Amino acid sequence: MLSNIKAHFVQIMQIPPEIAYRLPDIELYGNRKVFIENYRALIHYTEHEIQLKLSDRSLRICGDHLTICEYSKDSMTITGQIREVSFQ
Amino acid sequence: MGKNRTAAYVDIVAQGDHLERFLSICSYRGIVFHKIKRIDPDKMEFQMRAVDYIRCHAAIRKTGTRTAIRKKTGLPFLFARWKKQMIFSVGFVVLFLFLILQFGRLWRIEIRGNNRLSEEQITNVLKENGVSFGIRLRHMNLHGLEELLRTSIEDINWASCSVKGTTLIVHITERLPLSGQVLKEGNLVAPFDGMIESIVTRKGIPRVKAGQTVTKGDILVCGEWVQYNDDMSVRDVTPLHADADVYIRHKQSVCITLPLNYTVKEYTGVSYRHAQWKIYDLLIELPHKRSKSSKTDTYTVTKQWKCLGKFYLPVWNTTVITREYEPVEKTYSLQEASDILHEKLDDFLSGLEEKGVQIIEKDVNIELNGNVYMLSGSIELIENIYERVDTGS
Repeated sequence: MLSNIKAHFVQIMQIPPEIAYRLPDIELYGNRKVFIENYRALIHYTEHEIQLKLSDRSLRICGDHLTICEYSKDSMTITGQIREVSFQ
Repeated sequence: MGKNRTAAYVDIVAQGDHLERFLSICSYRGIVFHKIKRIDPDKMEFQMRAVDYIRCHAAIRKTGTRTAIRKKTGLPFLFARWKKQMIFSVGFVVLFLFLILQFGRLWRIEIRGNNRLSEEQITNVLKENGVSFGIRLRHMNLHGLEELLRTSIEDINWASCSVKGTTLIVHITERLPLSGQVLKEGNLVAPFDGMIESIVTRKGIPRVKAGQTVTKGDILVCGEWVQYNDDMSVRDVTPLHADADVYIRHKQSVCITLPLNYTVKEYTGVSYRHAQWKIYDLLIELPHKRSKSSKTDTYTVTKQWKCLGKFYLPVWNTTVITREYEPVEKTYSLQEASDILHEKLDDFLSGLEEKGVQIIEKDVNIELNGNVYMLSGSIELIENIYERVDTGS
């Protein structure tokens, strides 16, 4: 019920859903680069797999030679040969 | 958010079992990481700001991570290194100021387009009018210089001045020498014996024709127009500017000599090299070894220092090379002398051909006359030639 009220409020006030629900913002540039915003923490990082904790689930990025070019509280840039981006 | 180019950054190698947690804790505190790369299952390398590295020690303790600084980059570290080498830093600043001061002044004059006029003639005129090394470039009036060169030096037809870096480039066009003879009154006469090959008269009355043999002094083209009355008495004589192309075939004697003995320098292989520097007018030369022999040849190579390709500085670097030699007396053989004399003859004939003279035949021989080789004989030429003789009328 609380979530319904929230959804109603967001719709009336026209608040962008990615801000209201803290949805992750994922921008993929081919299979070479991905830019991610609105995540909680970094769970796991190897050269072949990166796992991020989102607000209600986790994000998994698989590939080869994965490097985190920039990592801050708000955004992260990952480069490498990206094979898969999936939610878990 | 990119890297701040002026900030100090450190390359860190971190080792531990909870590296991801360490990164998360640091990022919550506003610390930004760059180029995170996994090296080993328990090792990672990344870049961060030096000030942030100091702030993340709490996270290091919390996660049990071990860190090591691999590299320090950025301007603050560079300045810290320079602070230890004060002399270097001061020298660098002094050099920088020196270059800035010199870039606005004239340190080189380049003359282009001169064939008959020497560079010294032109630079002397410039010096007399205040244009010399060391003057400020912005104080130079280029249009005024161009006008000055055109009016001061008669042989300059056109001049253009421009400044490139610290160089004044003067581009000139010389006035062409007057070709042909000045038209004066008088007859055209043969300067020597010969045969008329062809004659083309532009003004005057021709007295000879092609194929005719002439002797020295014969009138080729008359510079007077005589008008007669009916009774063949002279009515009027009008002087003319006789002008014609008269090609005369004639023989000219030639004699070229070459001394039998000559001296050649045989270098002993002993040479001395030293450097000189000239800053403005101050000459600096370090103590160096000198040759004890009086028979030496000295070569100097001078280069002016320049910066960034076009900014010349008031610093010259000269390399002086002194080579010792022994003079050796030698004698030309007949073959050697023959080769040299024929080469000289060919040079002489080439010079004639450049002036439009046609070489028909050459009949020369070489003989040793005392202690001199002599190439003598005659050459047959066809050339456009005459002498102008005043008629006196």
